[in-house]
Amino acid sequence: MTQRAEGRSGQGIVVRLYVAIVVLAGVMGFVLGSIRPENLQPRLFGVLALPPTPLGVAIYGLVTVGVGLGALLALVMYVSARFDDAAAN
Amino acid sequence: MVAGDIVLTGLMAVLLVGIAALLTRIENWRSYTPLAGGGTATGETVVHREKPAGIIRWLTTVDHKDIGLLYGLYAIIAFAVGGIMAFLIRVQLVTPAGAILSNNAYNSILTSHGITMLFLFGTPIIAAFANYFIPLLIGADDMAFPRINAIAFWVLPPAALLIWAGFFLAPVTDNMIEPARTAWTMYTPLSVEQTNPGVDLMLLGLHLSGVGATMGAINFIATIFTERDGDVDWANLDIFSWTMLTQSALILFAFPLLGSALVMLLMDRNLQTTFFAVEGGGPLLWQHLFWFFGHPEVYILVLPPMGLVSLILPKFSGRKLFGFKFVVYSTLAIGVLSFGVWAHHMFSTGMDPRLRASFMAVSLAIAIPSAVKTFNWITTMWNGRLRLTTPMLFCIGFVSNFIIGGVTGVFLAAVPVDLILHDTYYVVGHFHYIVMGAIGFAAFAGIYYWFPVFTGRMYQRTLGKAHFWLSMVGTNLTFFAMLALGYLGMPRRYATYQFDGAIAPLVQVTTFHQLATVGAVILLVGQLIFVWNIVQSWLEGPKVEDGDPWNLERDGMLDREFEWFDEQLEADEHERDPSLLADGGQDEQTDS
Repeated sequence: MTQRAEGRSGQGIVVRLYVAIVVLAGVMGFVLGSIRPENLQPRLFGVLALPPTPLGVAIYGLVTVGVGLGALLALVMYVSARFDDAAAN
Repeated sequence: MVAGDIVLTGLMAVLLVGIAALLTRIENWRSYTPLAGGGTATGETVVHREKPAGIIRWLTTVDHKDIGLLYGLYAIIAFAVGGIMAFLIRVQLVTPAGAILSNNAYNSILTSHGITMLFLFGTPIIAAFANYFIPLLIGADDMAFPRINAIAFWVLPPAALLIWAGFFLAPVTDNMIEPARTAWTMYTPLSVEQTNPGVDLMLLGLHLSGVGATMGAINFIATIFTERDGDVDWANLDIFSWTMLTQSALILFAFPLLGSALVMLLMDRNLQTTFFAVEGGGPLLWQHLFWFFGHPEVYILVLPPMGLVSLILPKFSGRKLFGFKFVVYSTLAIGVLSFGVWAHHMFSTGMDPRLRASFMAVSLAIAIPSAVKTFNWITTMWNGRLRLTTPMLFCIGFVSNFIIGGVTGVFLAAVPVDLILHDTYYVVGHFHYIVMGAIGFAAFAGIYYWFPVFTGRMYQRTLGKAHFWLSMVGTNLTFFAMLALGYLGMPRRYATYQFDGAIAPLVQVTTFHQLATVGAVILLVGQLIFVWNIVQSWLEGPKVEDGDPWNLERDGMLDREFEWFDEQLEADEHERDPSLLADGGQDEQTDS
């Protein structure tokens, strides 16, 4: 019943998931920019105004989600390196 | 006429004699109970080595594992019914004028879809896992009250029949009794003013399902508190049992309130009381009562799936759950906070702005324990070696979808955003990411993970993975399209749609509806594969001969349910010692 004796690196998979989600956020931004809901005015971190075009909203999605989840990922890395007694490696 | 009556009476007598004869054939139904205390009341130990055969076994069983399987079967049937309803809804919305259903039929199906999925699939599928596995995980002989356990299950089939009664009765009563069209929230005054008796039947069915859930919750609390094996204490109680304990407490506080509110609604409808009338308590009273139950209900449905993921995800990461204690604390925190957020469903009702602000604050606060859990799952994976089995894929899918469902929910918790997006498809997309993308996925993870235990066989891995990927793609396509529809201003619950071009071009709205329907088709194909896989593998799959089918012992992560499973397999080898088959606990082996 062994699927894969040693398994894959968790770090690799988590990083790939991160990249996939950030790219997906960009795609979703592009879609939202294309459909142009009413009063769409993306402001990066509430400060930097971006154009309400597909590209502008895509950048908004990429940067916002990239930084937000990136901060969470950095925290995961920090905590894992210092406080994880049960680390496998 | 008189002759007809006599014939009928005769038939009735034959039927009763037949039932009596049947009952005498199963005279042992009382005593095969695998209860530690079952035989001690009379001072003698009665051990019955076989369960009754055939259908009688399932109708009379009080074995927690059998009841777990009954719950599972019930939930899967309800999932199929609710899923077909969802599919009809999606097909209807392919064209702006509605493709297949009349407006009334659409409203009926919309109402039943919600109630079916939440009350007849969501709660029972959790009870299925909990019934089968909690006694095994905590080393109990059975549930604390096995007969109450059986009653709690057996009130559910009549509950489902009552809830769906309108669909069956409309054709035979010449539409005198029709399915309810109140939406699952049953808002007054609409639900009071619909004179259709189908609404009363649905309310009674809901009430009955609530009674069952409450009995089950009492049983789980008593079991986890009093039936643990000697070496299972609060410090090493597994995470799934912790979430079930919290969930059961929530049920205990939430469901009786739903029951009371339902009775009040029934009285308003039938006895001319004015609980929810303008001259009485007012229509908003219903919303307060309903959501005081309704929001904890969300956590009643999501906490045990979180427990399943917290239990399964570490197994395939090759390491223990990171920050176990904090996952337990966050479960308890969510349980407490869940009772302080109900009015965020009512921000647009014109309630006092100061109240709105306080409910907004608590709603935002609930993101913290949720984020703690997500953080712990990701950290568990970070330093692990992952084996991407089907249950693990569903766990990772759960985490991804939960993040999307959670983040979209945080925005809805903010009053200004909510006022814009309230009652649009954004809300529908948000909560479906949670109920399908997260709760549904965790249920699938549990089914695949424990499949060897409850069937003794292994599922087909390729089909399992196909099920995952189709579900993942289908879920994200359908529910992202709904989020986009919400941004475009598409309101919920409508059977048809027309748009002022100044708000959004109709063609764009139609396109997103069609995308959502394509996603629903993908989901449907995935679920057909799932059912095929489960049924075929159960009947013909390769038999599991190793008590550790997932190789968990290597990482020191073999839980008690798999140890029990191993004992079963060994018992099978040694000419089936039936005392082992009847029971999950250790005591029984020494007793018999």
